[in-house]
Amino acid sequence: MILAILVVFGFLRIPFESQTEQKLKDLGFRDWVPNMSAREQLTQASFIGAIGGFRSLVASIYDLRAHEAFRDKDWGSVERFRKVTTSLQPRFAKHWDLAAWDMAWNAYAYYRSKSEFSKDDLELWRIEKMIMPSYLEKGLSFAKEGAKWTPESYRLPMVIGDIYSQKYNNPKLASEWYFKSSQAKDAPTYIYRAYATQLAKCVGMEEEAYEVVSNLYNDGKLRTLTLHRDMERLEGYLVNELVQAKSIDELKTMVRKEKSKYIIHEAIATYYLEEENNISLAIDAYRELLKNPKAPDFYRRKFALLIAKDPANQERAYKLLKKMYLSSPQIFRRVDLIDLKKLESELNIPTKEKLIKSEDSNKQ
Amino acid sequence: MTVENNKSIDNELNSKFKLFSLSRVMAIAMNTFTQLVRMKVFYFLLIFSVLIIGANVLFLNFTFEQELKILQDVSFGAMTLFASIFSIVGTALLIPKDIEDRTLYSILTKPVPRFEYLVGKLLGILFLVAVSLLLMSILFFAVLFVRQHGILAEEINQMRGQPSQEQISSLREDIFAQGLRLELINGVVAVFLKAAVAAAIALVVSTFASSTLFTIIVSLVIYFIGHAQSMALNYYFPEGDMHGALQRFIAGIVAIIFPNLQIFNVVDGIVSGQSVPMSLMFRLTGLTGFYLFIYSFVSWVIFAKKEL
Repeated sequence: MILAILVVFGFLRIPFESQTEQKLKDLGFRDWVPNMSAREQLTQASFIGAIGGFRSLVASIYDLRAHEAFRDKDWGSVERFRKVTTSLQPRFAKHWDLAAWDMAWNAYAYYRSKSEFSKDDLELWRIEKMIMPSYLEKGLSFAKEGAKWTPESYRLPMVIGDIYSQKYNNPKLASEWYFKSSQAKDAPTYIYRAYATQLAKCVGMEEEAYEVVSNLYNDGKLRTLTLHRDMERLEGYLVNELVQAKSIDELKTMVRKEKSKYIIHEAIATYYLEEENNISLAIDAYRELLKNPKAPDFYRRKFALLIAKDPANQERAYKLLKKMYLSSPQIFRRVDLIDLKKLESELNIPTKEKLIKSEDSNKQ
Repeated sequence: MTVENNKSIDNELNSKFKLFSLSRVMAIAMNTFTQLVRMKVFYFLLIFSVLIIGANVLFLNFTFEQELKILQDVSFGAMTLFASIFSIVGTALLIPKDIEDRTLYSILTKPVPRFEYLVGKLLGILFLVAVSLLLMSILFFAVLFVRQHGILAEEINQMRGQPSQEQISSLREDIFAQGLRLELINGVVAVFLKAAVAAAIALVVSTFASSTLFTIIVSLVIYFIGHAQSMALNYYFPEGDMHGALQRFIAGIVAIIFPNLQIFNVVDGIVSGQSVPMSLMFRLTGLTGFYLFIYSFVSWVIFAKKEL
């Protein structure tokens, strides 16, 4: 009778349990399957723990083992343990992040420093051409696999962007991944800025990059030093394009039509400076440019350095530059600091009053 | 006259006697609870405190995600372990102890049906498990709350310069998303539901077992099979690849006879940051109720025929 009750109960509950299991599967609660490879990766106790409802705890234990192996610089074990943690809890983004970090940064850096001390050419070749690239690949592969498992999180696409920008020096792929990361709901704002920075480095994509960078710049929430530099560099690129493509008359016609585009004034000034070497006309073009409230601050610096070329205006220019330097030093590039230092020497500014100490111009 | 009087008293008693009385069940349940509390079972809280404080102190050099995850893993692991042990061992001890103390005879000579006795005992155990889990949860949540605020303060201190409000709120969001959140309550409920089914299994076994040790061992074996059965089927017969009739028969028998305890394992996902919809929690609660009813019924069928 008891068996009959249990069998009837079993037949009643199994469809209900199957439905519930399916729901759990759909929600991602059954990502880990205890198959042959899982059994091979785990010890017997860990395997039993994992199927006995302690999968997360077992993953944490393997995380600690990976950390221990990292301290011992045993990169093979680090990789093996990281594979276990990521397979036990694939939806925990930090596991993938740490796996990618251990491979693409820690193991890579370890072998790079080893290569610096290696005197054996064959060994050096093996480290540089085989081991280091393989760890980068492994890091990238962990991060890409993690990005598939955690599509809602910004973290793994950001890690991939980091690897492409810092390790492969590939700004195009880096910008694509940073953009993907920046679109996640939980993405911090600095990721979009990283996207802009990488895009600004892409050759042949200057116009697209300018649109992104100028939007960030005009948004004005946080103008980082990189943003200032990128904005100036990209505007410089667009100005050169304009100067090469248009004649001075065409530029003047354009400026009459599109008064709000300060960049055309800059193109006119550049034309006068480069083609006609006419400083006074260039200064006039800058004066017009600076009337535009949207013009970035670095044009004031350019204007002041330009008027400093006339010995009669040097003192006035220096006062302007000094005021600018004290209020917004970020608009001064290294090359500008050298010019400013030269100006201070020409004006015989006493050492104590000098804005630019010799080490400052080297630092920037 | 005397016979008539007796008959009228019997009739009166029969008319007042209810087949099932919740108050009688509650009296037995509260008595069981008190009996277990007197066994000083709450000393385990000391071990639990040491465990979670240890987990909190030992892993300070990790990232905040790792640190908070380890704290949650250790706490949930300990809660699952303690709740399951309480359920199985506590239930296994009850009937033999009542027989040994002769309490069982004094209860059953009163107008208390055996079914009520069993349900009362089971409820007493479940109260104990619920109170234990409540105490552990309070301790766990308190430590997690303190730690997440501590981590936030440490991370802000480590930032270079004066962090902006935006940076602080983004950091707070990141840390708190891994810390104390409502979802953890579902994890505690799931631990309780699994422990309740384990107690019901032990109750069935204890009704026909010859000793406490036998009850504990058999219940633990069923508990383990309950976890492994669905996975074992997937492991040995991937994608339902069961060709032989014998294979299908064995797989069917295992699935029908033994409970599927794996279904209650949602804690692993919750710690990873996944959320369990309320509809799923209701399904699990309903399933637990179903298990409790059937196993109590089976226990009664066995216990009713038992000669005491």
